[in-house]
Amino acid sequence: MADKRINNLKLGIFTIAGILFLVITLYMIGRDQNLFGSNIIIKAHFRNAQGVVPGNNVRYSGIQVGTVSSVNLINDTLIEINMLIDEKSSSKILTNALAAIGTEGLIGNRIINLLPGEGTGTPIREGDLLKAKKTTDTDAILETLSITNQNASVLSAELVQTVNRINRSTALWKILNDDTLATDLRASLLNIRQASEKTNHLVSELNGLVADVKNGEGTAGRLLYDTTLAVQLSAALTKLDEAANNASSLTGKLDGLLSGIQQDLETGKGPANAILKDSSMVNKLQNSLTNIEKSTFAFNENMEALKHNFLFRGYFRKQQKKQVKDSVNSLKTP
Amino acid sequence: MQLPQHTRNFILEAGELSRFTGRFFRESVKPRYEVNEFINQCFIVGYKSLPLVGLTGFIMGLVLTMQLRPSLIDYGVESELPAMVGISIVREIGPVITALIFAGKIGSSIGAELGSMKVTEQIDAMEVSGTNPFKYLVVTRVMATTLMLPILVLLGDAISLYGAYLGVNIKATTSFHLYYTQVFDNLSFGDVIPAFVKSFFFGFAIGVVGCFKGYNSSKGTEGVGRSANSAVVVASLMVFILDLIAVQVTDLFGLN
Repeated sequence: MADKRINNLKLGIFTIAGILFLVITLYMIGRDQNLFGSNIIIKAHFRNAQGVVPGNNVRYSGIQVGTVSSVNLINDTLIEINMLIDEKSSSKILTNALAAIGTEGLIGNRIINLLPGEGTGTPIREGDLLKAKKTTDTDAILETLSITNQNASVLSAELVQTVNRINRSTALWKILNDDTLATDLRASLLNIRQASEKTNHLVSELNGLVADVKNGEGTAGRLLYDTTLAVQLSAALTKLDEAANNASSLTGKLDGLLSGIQQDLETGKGPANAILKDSSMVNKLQNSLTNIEKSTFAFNENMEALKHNFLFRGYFRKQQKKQVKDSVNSLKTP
Repeated sequence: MQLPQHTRNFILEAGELSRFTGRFFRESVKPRYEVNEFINQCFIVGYKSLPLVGLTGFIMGLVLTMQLRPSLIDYGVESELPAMVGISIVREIGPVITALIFAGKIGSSIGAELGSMKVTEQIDAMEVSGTNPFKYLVVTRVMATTLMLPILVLLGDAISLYGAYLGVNIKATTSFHLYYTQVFDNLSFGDVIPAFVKSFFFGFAIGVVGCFKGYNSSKGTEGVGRSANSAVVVASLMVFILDLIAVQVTDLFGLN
């Protein structure tokens, strides 16, 4: 009997273990499908369901928060996807979250990705409608890829042509094979660098100059920026104008004077006429000058006679001796 | 029209098996119930088969994992190994391998036991002593196999999944947590329930076929051996046929 009880015990353990495993399995599967615990249903509208089916996972920022409960066609362009969201997570998901259809891995099952939205929102509640974010469909990617592919094929064909042309070109190969070219190029580059350095310098100086001009320094600066100069210039111009006016009146007067002289000359009156035109006056002047010449010659003779006079002879000799002595001294002291 | 002998025998046997099954249902609902013998049979059929089923399951899990790995690496989805192994074990390998081992061990033992009882006229003696031999021998055994095989399948699955976990870890490192998360993430009720339900049918078929072959054993020791042998063969065949039917039915319900 004791043996039988032990056997029954073993059988009991065996059976319970088996049923326990079944229960655990079913529970874990059920938990994955959110059959236990409380959930709330939220919705999102899409134009294209992209193959989402009930049971697909819903993730919020990559964390499993629920499953798709149903996919309904609302009208010809709108599809409503209902999602069961675990109540524990639902307090963290805000109404401004975006729903996007994604894929698990590259070729895996479809999933709904909930992404945190911008701005502020309140935690989601039963029946809330989330905004849908349009994602790129794989078909669209492939379509774009096919265009890219065509372009690439055209490009590569043209590239082949270009390369062929380059290969056939002798001039290019000559340039490429020329060893001196590199040295020349280097020298040119050096020159260019120097030139550019100089240009740089020049530009910086010009810069300084412009700055100076802007600051109103120097003639150009004053010319362009000094406001007092303009006033002064204006005053100067006014004065110049006045001077010109004066000159004009002066010339008018001069003109009158000259016309008077002219008249005098023509009529034979006045001193000018006497000087310029009267020949008798010229003769008189001539006679006077001849007289003066004669009298100075006579004076000269008188003076020479005076030198030889005994009263003045000693003085002239003394003068002569002093003159000789001075010239000898100047020779002695070089 | 005279059918060939083999065909006639086959159809005859099918008819007899159907009668036998019908009799089982009739007898099983009628009191009195042989509870003690049923529990004893459960112990023999269920508990004592566990080591064999466990070892087979463990090896199957390990081998399946190691065999699948190269193909999955070819497709670059090595990370899907636990999911793949989990689904194949729970859906198909677990129930069928366990049922086949069970058919080999229990089918043959029931066939031989009842066959030798029949040959040594113990069954007749039982009838004389007032015990219903069909109730005492057949109903208890069939009930025991029907109820114990699902439990064996479940435990076999568990051990098999553990073997697969070791298999995954031979060439890679996966934590047990990640492993079972991946396995159960990819399982659904549609995988577990049909497999669980069909194992009842497997157990029932194995019990019925074993009992039928033993109960209708021909005379002589040769008959015992033949009934034990044919019990295993027919039971194993029945397992596969039932598996075929089960997959069709599952498909019909859209659970695949």
